[in-house]
Amino acid sequence: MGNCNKKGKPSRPSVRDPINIRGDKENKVSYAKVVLIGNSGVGKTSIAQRFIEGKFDENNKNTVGASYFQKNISFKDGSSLCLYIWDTAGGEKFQALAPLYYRVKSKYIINIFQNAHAAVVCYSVTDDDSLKQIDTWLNKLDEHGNIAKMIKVVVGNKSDVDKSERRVDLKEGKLFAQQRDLPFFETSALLNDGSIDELFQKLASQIKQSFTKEELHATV
Amino acid sequence: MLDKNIKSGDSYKFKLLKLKKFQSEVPIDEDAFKFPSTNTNLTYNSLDLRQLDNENKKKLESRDKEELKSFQTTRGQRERKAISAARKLQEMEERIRTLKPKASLKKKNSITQDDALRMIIDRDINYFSKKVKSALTQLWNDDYQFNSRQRRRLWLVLSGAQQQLSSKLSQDNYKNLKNLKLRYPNPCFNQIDLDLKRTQMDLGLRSDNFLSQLRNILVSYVKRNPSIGYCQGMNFIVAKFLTIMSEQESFETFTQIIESILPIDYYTNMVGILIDQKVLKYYIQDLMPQLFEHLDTIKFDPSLFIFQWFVCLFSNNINYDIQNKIMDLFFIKGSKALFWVSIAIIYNLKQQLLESSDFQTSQLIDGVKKVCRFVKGKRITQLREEFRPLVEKELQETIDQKETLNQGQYLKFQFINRFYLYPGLHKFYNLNENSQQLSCQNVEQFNNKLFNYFHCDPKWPVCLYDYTYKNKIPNYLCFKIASELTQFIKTDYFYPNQNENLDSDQILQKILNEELKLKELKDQILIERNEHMCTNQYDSHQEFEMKFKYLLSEKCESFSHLPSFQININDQMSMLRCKEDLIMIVSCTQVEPDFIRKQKEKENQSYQISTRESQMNKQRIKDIILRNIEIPPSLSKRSTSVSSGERMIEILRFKSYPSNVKSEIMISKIRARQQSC
Repeated sequence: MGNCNKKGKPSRPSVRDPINIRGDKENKVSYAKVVLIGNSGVGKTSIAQRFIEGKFDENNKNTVGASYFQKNISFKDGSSLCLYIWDTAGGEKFQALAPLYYRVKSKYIINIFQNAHAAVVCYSVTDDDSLKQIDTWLNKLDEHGNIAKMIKVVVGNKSDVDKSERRVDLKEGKLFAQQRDLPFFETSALLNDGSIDELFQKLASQIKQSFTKEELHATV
Repeated sequence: MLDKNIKSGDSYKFKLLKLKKFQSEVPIDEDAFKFPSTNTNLTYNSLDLRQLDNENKKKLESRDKEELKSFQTTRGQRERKAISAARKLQEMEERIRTLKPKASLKKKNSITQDDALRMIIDRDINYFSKKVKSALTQLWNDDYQFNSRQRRRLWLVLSGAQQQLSSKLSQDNYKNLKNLKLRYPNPCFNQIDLDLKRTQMDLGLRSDNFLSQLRNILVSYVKRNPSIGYCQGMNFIVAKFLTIMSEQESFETFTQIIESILPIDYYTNMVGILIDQKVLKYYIQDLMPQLFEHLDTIKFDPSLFIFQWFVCLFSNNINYDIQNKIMDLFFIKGSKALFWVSIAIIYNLKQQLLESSDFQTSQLIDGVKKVCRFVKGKRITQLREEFRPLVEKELQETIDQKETLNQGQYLKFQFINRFYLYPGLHKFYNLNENSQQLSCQNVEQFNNKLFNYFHCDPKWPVCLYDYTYKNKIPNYLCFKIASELTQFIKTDYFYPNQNENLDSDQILQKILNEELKLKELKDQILIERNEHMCTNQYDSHQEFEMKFKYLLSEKCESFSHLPSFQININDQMSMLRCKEDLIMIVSCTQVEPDFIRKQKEKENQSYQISTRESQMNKQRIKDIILRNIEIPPSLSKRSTSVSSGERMIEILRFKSYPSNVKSEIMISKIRARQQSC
């Protein structure tokens, strides 16, 4: 997994901790929290996996609760941004938990939306219902997120499928995102076509543009 | 932690601690556990008390102070204390000596491990006593490798599934459930289909047969208990069982786990899991304060992985052998094993934060051995009770911020938490003599009785309200009666009437009043059934029922495809509207006389069969209904506040329709209205 030490400094013993913040403050690396949301089975975990490990696992299991990845993104000007990617479960039952799950200042429950700089809202091009549900997810973001200028991106996954299996056209998805004034991407986690890298690259540069360096610290 | 004490140079403190430790150890040894005396002691000084409630805080603080005092006293006092401590130690030793013969006697009576192994395979046995269980624990501690045959029996018997399987009545239950066809969509089914292919593929379990079995079990469970339905993560648990058991065995074991081993609200609204998360965090803080502090400073919340562990019962993302080992312990020791295992894993991971090595079974056993003495089942239940109000309060707060309609749902869950689920509760059977009667009846039979109480035809394949509600709305809960009903819960029990426009204080007061009633009801009702179409139509329920049946059997195709059946579960208002529409459609249907005749014949038959006793019961219940309940006003009152058009329909509905009104016209009207909506 991506190590966030900028200049490859010898890692401290606590580096095995999933989130190493103390050591990196000195390095002045920026952090951004990205949440992956969307209906169940649209391929959120696959997107994260393609981005982090550069591979596609056919035997992916359904996510329970949430899981967590991190990866460094370096820009042309030499600076870098460490993305904390929260991969959430889309299941109905966990949606019922949403108010707890995404709640700000919750003592007892992890809050995934808290301090999230960006949200990747996914749908599957094989499932038109998942596109309709994007509005609900966007509402949830508005309701439970605490950063006003949070960047939201609409992503149509599984673009590799045959035309016969496709339920949502590229145009349709574009129009949908346009109406809501959101950036749109169509990606494929299965094919190594760079669509997902492009997504995260653009997302990262936009995060860097819209947030100041002070704001890009990791408060997970 | 003890190392810390030694390093601090206060060897005296260390001795004292050791003494104390020894004294406290002696009476603990009751579960036939014998563990090497491990030196994990609690250092209260470093305890972070933030999340404890005040009472506990005070208690711990006072203990803290006492301990501090004892260390700060003068040397003379220290010596005196040491002497008295030494005396106590002597006394203890004597006591142990006197106790020893008894202990050896116990050993003679106890069951050897070989016996236990023999009992596991013995097919006639479907219940393990405590002694066998302790022998099994010993086997577990010795890392005995059960083969799959032994393990299958072990899980079946310990979970209580074997008891269920051995009764003839419940044997057909699964078949019935499996064959029960539902003609309406349920979000759970979609989710199951999505998750099937995402289950344990790394184990090579991808044959079609396996997947269909898995699907059958999960779908049957949704049918059996829609209030719990399906939760992602269950697929891993069931897949685990299917590797060594047959389909029906897996189903029974699974239901036993959910309905009797785990706390009731583990999967309904997940409050159970949230509470257990809290409990586990308390233990981490208590036993491994250093680690807890560390996690706190890096702002990493352990609930992230705890949640996954508890939802899947460790059957996901963990080494296969360890999974089996954990399941064994879970079945032997119940839900407290979840805490032991979690703490054991975290305890081992704590070491691994610095040095990397793979996690082994032996480490798990060691960890559990160390942990189980500190994590007691009683304390867990105590803590659960302690944390429940905190979690529920937070839940309530979040719900208060949202729509008021959800309040009812929350209250419902709170209500249900007080009760046991009816089926498969061997614990409950053991407790209550009356409930013994229940255990010999299968679920279907019991439902029939229930339907009788509510004037539904048990012969009918799908109960009216089951058809419309139980399977449509996952949150729908149903009554199962433990003993004879003498009280009823009103249908709008949990939904404060919107016409009243109560303040939050008033609502609270109302709830408090209701709570008293709930306590009274506890003995009589196990689970609540939310709403019945029949009781809504109380004055003319028989006629209504007839029409409904007619539509279902004769015009099923067109009827079940009505737009009113496309209920949006998340939208309470549209749900109500749909229900009203349905009621209206049914009400204005004209039934063919042939059908009525056939039904009456059937009714007569069933009437003759039913005993005199049940008739009396029926009459009694009827009287009670008439005395205690006005015609449930919930719907009518609520919807009158919606719009005048709705009110018109209400009035129409409650006046009996002239039978010559053609149902088609009404249906088309409703459709037009829905489109305009």
